[in-house]
Amino acid sequence: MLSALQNPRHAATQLLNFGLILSTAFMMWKGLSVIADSPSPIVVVLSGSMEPAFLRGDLLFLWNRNIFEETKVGEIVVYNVKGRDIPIVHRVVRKFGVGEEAKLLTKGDANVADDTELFARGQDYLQREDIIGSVVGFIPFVGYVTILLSEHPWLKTVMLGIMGLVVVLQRE
Amino acid sequence: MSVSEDKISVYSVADLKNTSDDALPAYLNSLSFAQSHTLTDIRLALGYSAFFVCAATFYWDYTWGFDNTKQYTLIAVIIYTLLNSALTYWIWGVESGTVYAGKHKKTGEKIQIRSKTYKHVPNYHLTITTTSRDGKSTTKHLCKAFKGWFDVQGHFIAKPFQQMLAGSVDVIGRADPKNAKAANEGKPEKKPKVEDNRSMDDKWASLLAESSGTREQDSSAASTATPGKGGKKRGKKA
Repeated sequence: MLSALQNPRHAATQLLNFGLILSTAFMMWKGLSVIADSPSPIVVVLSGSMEPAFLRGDLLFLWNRNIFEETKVGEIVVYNVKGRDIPIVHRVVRKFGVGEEAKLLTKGDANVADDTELFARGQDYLQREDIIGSVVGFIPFVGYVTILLSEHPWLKTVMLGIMGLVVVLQRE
Repeated sequence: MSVSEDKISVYSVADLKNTSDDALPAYLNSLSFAQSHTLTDIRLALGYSAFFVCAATFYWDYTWGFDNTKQYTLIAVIIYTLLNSALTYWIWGVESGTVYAGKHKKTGEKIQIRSKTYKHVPNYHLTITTTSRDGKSTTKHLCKAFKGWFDVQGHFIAKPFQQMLAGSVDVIGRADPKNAKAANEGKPEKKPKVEDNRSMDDKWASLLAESSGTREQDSSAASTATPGKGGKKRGKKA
């Protein structure tokens, strides 16, 4: 394993193996994004506002193309509030108008009030472009790891370090 | 120069294989073979261009956001997939375990060596393809027990390893007559494995026989071989 550091081609190959693992994961994610036409085709539910439909830690799959029909009332969508980058999973409860210009209002199933409070200052409704996808499938609980990782950021560093070491050192 | 630093675990087939794989180019380059790195270079070129495409995608995605760069991302994903498939094909289909490719500096004979091990079987499988100057190529399969050139503690011993190669491959034998001669004296008439078109079962049977059978002639060579050429080479590497 030390000889790998002396031969530049060996070292380059080892480094490449590590790089390809990361880049393949990234490109698979991007491929999924392009197919679903959504910047974030898989999201993790961070709050309990959609209970009992979704719990914290559920993994949701999103689809952001309106091929057959428009986004309509009753659909569960994920949207980003203008200027903030936290995706919110809520249900569409009102819709005025059609097409790109339609005005949408959302509400969490477990919340008492609709989302007007959550919107940015001066924003009274959502438009189609604010939505990053409708929920088409989910896996319960498996996303909890990412909640742990984002709540305890040092775990990320530890995991990345271990992964890197393992790949560089093993030649099986 | 202390030998113990290079000790490996004799129970790890991966360690046995990696050490032997590393010793192959060292030995052949010390003879008059010039190593060709074309296979590795193409693999690196494919891999790093795929990585570069990914890095570029990451950069524009990070800088301009997803929606503004969708088309480019789509193209990048397609290119990445193609490059990665080409790389996979290159590694499995073309390289398929090549540890050495080279050419004799004077005679121009080409040699390509592929190595392989099976899980938990301590035998070194070599596929050696030699191409003479007029383009005629011959392929030879070797299957040798690692214990022939590793001692009990896990030290690699160069002499028997070199004799094994020089004795079984004509091109190497001609480049290293001393080891070839020693190898042929050591084992009179037992050619371990010639080209075979036998079924897998037969191969396994002979393989098992070989691994359980006696091979004492190698250990006598091993005990005398520790100093000298092998030791020097290891010193260079460490």
